[in-house]
Amino acid sequence: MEETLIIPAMSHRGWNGAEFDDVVREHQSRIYRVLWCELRDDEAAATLTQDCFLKAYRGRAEFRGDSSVQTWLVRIAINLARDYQRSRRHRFWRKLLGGNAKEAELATEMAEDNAPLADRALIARQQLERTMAAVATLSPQQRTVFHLRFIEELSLEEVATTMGIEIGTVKSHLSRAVKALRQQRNEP
Amino acid sequence: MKHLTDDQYAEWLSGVSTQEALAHLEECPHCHGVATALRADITRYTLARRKQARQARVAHLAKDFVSQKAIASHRLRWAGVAALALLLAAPTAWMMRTAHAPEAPSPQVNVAGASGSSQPSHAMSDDELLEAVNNDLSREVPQALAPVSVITVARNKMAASAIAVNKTSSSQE
Repeated sequence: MEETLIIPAMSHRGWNGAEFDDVVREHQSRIYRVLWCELRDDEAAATLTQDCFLKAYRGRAEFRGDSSVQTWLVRIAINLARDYQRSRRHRFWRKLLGGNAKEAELATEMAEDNAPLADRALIARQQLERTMAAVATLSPQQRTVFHLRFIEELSLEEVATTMGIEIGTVKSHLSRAVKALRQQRNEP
Repeated sequence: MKHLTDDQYAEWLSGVSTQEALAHLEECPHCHGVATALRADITRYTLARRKQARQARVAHLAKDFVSQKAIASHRLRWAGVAALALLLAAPTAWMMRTAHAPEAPSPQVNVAGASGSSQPSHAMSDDELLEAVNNDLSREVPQALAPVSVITVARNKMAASAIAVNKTSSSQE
């Protein structure tokens, strides 16, 4: 695990600028990654990361401390990403630029990194492309749940709190993701 | 034998598997293979996404750094230009200010003083001005030394009168 998952929220109401700077430093990398995985857009992820912390700072008095700071921040980030995805501009650029070329490039790069042998590299690349294709078939909410659980390593409860859904729904989304992955492998 | 469902695989991947499902995974090579493959796929995907996000962030930070450096360099360049312009403009402004300042009234004072008038020069007629200049030029000593010349003249007059008195007395004798 890269970062501390939970920081005490005891003095959240009294966060001053310096204390909030610490929160930003501790979580900005994760928030950027969450946003990037949601949007697959460097600039948008960076902008929304700033927006996320700005929103968190403005709304710090509303943070009740029921969940961890991380869960609270990730929830803000996910909401920002959703708003962004809803915007027409994003749809337009997404259609215009497309993401397939980048995906294939990344798959090749990752496969080369992880497998020194040509055959293994090829297999790994194909597997990664297949997984990416499977994840791409998920609905936005299913994909977000999948990312939060496996990329961010949040627990099922944390994912549920972050997304504002029941744990049962989280499990259902993960089950759908497993099904998609198995279908891509042509498993029964 | 009944294999694991997608729900059970999802639970196993989330670390909340039941004892029954775990036991089945140990016994069933098929389900074990599927579970292992799923975990490998997800791990590969997770690593790829993390790496890609990290690269994107580093690239963005680098771009930010470069742009900030460029802005700083741009500002520094303009500050230099401004300083240079100030350096060039200051003497010019000083010279222009000096050129436009009212001229020293000393010659006019001299002339006016010589004529005994406090009126400005432009108020004098041409004749008066000419006379004042002539007076000034015909002075034996500069105006500043005028009292000395007066004393000298007075002394000379006294000496002359004393000589005249002496001559008169000697002729009477």
